[in-house]
Amino acid sequence: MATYVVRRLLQSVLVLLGVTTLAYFILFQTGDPTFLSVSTDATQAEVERVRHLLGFDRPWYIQYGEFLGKAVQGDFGTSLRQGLPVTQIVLERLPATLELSAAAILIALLVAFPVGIISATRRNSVWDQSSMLGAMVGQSAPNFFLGIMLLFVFGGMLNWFPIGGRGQGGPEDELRHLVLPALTLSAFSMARNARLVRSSLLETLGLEYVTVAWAKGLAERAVVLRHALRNALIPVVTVVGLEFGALLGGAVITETVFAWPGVGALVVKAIGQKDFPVVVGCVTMLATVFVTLNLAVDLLYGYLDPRVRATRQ
Amino acid sequence: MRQEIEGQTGEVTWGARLNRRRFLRLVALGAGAGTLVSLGVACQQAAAPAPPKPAESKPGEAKPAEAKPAESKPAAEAKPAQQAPAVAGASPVIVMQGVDANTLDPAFRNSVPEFTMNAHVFSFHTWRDPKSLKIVPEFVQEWKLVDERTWEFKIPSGAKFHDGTPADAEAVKFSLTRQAKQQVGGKPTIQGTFGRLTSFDSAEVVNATTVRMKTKDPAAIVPDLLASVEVMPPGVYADESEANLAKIATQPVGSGAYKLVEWVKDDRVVLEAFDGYWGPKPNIKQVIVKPVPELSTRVLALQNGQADVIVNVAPDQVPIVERSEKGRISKVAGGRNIFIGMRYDRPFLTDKRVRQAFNYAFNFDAVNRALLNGAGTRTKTILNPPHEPPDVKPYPYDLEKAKSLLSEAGWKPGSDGILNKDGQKFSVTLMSPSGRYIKDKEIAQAVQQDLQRLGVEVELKVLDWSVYAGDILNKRDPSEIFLLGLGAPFTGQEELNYIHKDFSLNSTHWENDEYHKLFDELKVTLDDKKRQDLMNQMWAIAYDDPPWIYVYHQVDFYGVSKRIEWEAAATERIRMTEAKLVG
Repeated sequence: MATYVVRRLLQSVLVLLGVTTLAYFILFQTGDPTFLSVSTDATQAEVERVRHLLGFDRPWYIQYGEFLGKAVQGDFGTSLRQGLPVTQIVLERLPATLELSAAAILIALLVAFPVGIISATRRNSVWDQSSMLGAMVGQSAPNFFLGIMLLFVFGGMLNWFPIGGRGQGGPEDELRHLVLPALTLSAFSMARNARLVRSSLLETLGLEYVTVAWAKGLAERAVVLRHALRNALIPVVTVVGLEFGALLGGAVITETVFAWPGVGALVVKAIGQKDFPVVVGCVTMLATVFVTLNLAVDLLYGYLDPRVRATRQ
Repeated sequence: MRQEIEGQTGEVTWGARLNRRRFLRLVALGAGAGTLVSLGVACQQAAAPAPPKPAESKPGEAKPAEAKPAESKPAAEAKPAQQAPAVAGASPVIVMQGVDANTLDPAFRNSVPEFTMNAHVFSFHTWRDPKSLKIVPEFVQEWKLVDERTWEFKIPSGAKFHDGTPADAEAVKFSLTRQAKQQVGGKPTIQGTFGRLTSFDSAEVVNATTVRMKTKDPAAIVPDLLASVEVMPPGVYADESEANLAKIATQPVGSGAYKLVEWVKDDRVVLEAFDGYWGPKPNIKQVIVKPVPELSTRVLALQNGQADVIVNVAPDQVPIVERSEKGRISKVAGGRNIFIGMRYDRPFLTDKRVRQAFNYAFNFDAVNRALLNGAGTRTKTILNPPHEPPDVKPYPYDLEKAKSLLSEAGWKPGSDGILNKDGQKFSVTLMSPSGRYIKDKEIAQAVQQDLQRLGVEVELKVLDWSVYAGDILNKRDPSEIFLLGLGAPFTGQEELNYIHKDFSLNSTHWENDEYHKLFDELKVTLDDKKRQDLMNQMWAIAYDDPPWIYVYHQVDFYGVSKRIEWEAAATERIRMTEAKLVG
């Protein structure tokens, strides 16, 4: 087990290195950001002077080496636009993104489980077909479109929820601001998990030990929830862990639509403003959370499924 | 035995009490309960009468007169807080911009949202009147030339900064000197323009209300540029250490009509009227500036009374706002000059008749009708008001004239309809950003079609701004023709600098010896009449030998709540000291 954990840790470090390097190179291919640091009336000679001062005229391998050396110590440099340490800027916004993603996954699971279970146990019923149709819509509707529609109906027409921002009037106000973006972000995950619970449960319900449970005369509730669902949960748990990471990526669009002050909105702004250190910092931070969750799920999976643990040992 | 059975059935024992089944049950129960309670509270909150908040306060509810003394701390002590400090009885005005400010340090600010904040927090030395666009007194209430290279400024007595220190002649001397620096704390400043264009030499205090500023060369542009120089307290801004620069970037201290009481990055900035303001007290007691990147969200917020001013309303959204109960549109032809640059250093485009032909071939009226909601006007000159020469007209749309000019220049239609000369096809690439300016790529498409009507083969290349800026700004090497917009100065000299060969954003590489000679003369000419005459001559050159296809001055649409009196300014400045609550 220890070897497995060490191997997975090393793999995670390599993934992070790859992601960071890729982000760095792609951004710098679009041209150096010297123009952020000069006024609009600057002459070409002035631009060259500033480029030299900021070190953007040095060979790429020197710049990259310097970046990497600092990055491994958690220092992603200073924002070209804000003049503040990138780590500080990104960490200030991370709680908002984590809050949004956590709320989204919670909503997704709370809806997905009952829907998936009822669909599986009432297979081919009107409920099953309509809920799976809904799930398909949820999976195919782009976050951007869904967000605007929710805002339009629940924020605009019905005026139930505020439009944009994270709220400033205490926990209740903040919660009201959270509902629509969390619903938007949860849509895809909700739909996918409902389908996954359904298919996984259907598969389990067909196994022999469930037939034995029925034969023993157990009630439907006991057979489904106590016997079948338990085993059907294993693939769901794996997917949910990874999904949390994916939600962080999805938050980019949702945060922009709802003016949610998280890492997603920050990265969009930083790309638009060519604030390269911030972009690389955000990408690395999101990748770190994703990789950590992936690792945690893998390890947890071993605990939940003894067969996996046995294989690893 | 028990362990064995549990292992076979997949039951993992976690310590003595917690097994997998319990773990999952607990997680599900906890999550379910948490969410239900949360949603319950949220919905209850939504259904119940909302607490007094800016967006839902009805007209007439605002009672600024009953406002209690503000409890906010000086900006220097402001910390990100969970709850915005509200001024009791006052109805805050909410301004929604596309992005948040990055820094409020006057030396490094670099965008309109940043200027918007500083326009509230700081006093500026002079100000550009939003209607006449002329320079008017602000903190500097009188100015005069003592000699060719010395300006004298009179300032009010008794003014104070938000931290209680005096905003006096020493502060003005310090502010002019700091803003003229090309580097602060070892970093290149963005606002060094002031120092360069004025050829700033030094500033000195004459007495408590008089300051003199010396320049190396005569510089008539000084009062104009003072409209972009904030008055700063030396005690806060003199320290150039990294720690202090980081602090003042987010905790500005000025002597403006509003002080900053809270800034939650990318969420909101709360500004509150400063009781000790030296000028006329603002009508609005609290202003909240929020960054909302998505336009549809801003429009919805305005329609629902959750915003009072929203920026960058697209022309196709204008009717939606105009139909709304709570909002209206305030539009203005801004100073941002949108143009198609033509590369003088490319053989096809060196001949001025070709560049003239392109201007005649551009059908602006069609663009205006189809894309700009009929609100645009074609750029007449390279100059903005108030320096625009009188009685001048833009290039008219005249396809025949355009064809005849190209024919004179030796371009004849080939068998495929494409113009050619000496066996070479007239083929160019038109580069355009997407989403940087209002309807930018659509305008580029229209230009492409107009030029194709002339028989020119045009390939359109639309790029994301971050890539486009890299090619255009960094390398000065765009395609033969390219769409760009340049900011909104109103000094005349700065607009004319846009086509100067040394200007770093001039990717046309246009050269005209006479123009450059006149520009050098303009820089050191002090007499207003003579300056205008020089500008007129330079405009005439830029019209006859055009480096650009003149497109239009971007029309800016703002959504404005009907409960406030405020009109958009061509300067793109949003300042609520000029607004009034009417509802």
